[in-house]
Amino acid sequence: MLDLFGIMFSSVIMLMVIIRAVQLDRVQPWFQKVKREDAPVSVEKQVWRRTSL
Amino acid sequence: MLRSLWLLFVYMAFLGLGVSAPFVATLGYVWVDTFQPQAVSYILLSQLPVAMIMGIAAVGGYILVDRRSPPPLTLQSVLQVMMAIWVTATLVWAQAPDAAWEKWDWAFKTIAFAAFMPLVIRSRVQIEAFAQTYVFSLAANFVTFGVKVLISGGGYGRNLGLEAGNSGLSEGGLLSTSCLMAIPLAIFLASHSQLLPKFKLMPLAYWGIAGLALATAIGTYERSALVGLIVLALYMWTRTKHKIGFGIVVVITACLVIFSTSHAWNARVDSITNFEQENSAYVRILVWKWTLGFVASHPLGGGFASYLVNHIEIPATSTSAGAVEFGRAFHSIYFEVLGEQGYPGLFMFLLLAGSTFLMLRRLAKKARPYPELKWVIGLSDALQSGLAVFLTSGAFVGIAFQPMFWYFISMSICLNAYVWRVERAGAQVVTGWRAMALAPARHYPPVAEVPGWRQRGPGTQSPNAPLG
Repeated sequence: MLDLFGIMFSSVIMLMVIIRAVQLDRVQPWFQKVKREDAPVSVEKQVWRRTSL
Repeated sequence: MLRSLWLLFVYMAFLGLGVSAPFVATLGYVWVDTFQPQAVSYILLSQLPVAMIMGIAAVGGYILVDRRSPPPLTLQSVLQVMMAIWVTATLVWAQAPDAAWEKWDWAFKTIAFAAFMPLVIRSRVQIEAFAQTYVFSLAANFVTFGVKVLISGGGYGRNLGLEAGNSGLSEGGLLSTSCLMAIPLAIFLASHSQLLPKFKLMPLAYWGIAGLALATAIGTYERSALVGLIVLALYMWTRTKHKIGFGIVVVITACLVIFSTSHAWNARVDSITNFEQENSAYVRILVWKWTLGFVASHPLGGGFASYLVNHIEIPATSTSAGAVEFGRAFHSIYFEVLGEQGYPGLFMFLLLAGSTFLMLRRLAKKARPYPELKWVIGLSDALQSGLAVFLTSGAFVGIAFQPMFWYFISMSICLNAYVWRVERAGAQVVTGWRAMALAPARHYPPVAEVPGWRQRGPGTQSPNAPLG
């Protein structure tokens, strides 16, 4: 009986997880954008950027 | 009968949902490979090639429906493929060909499928579903086993799990290591799960599952479990931010284990220190000595199950007469790989484990500045802890080709590919080595804007459109 409980418990939760995963997989974007800060740029490079074509 | 019908229903559910979303069939394979429903079912599933059917569904679904955004080519992926090729090559000079073929049959499938998984498991949802499937596939065994241990106390060689005999998860060394590896994953899921409803008690439920896994590992009375447990506690402590809180939990758990375990457990664990009087531990050392001698003359290894050709001379002691034993197993992942796959195999195996560790540490460091990627740090730490358990506990059990190690490596590759895609989000990049090789000038939409596999934005091409 305990064996059956273990099997039922794990597989019911697993099926819930899978069904939810299928739902979310359809509606969520796959990859989240992260807010990125610009890397610090040296003064020389800033001047070069402003003056270059 | 009820059990068999239920397992058939679950199996069919995986296949059915796999038609709707191909990654589910891959998770179905993880379930079949880890839980092995065919071993505990009485009808139908026990007569069908369940793993092969699920494997075909997974690979077929990927090729026909879901081929897009391939992962970057990493050292770990290359090593997985090389390992699959090498274990096949060593069959040519296998010392025990029949037994070697038998082991190759399942070991090759495990390695090859683990190499395939990063192609299919790509998004956060899919990676978490992978972790959940792995934990709950094992939970079927350790929930039952753990409850029985809490009631009866367990015992060495006592089979309290689902499967009969002394193979697969009914073997104490494998079961205890698998359970210890599942603990950090369950704790990760307690704080980062997206897939189960967010009840207040949900984290407690995951901690309960981790507790039953711990009870199972202790209840097997395996000495390797104690080694793995100490390493797990130490490694998790080094990775956690809440060092004092976690330290208190570890100390309380250790006290509970010491006071609640029986004299039999203590006596079993004590035999680690006086190994020369303990036959099992002493024979291991003799087998390891034999292996070093064997690879000195066979540097390319002796193929799978090469231990069958060994003969171990056990010297006489004051309490027992000497004896010669034949075909004693390696009882260590390192000597198993060395004896079976030789120095090239051991080199690849160690490089795979070591480079994955470094990759996971690098991922955690990379994700630290971004709150959106907090879960990446959690999963990276959990995978490192699990691998640390495998590499220490496995030093005393021959489980190198069992699925858990290969799945942990795969999960790490999936996580690395996820961060790789996030890094490129917002930039017009060519995704993946295959696209670069075949169509260097082709541009894909930014990966961050790629919706779920079914929803294709206007103007986007089919994932299976010919490249170039």
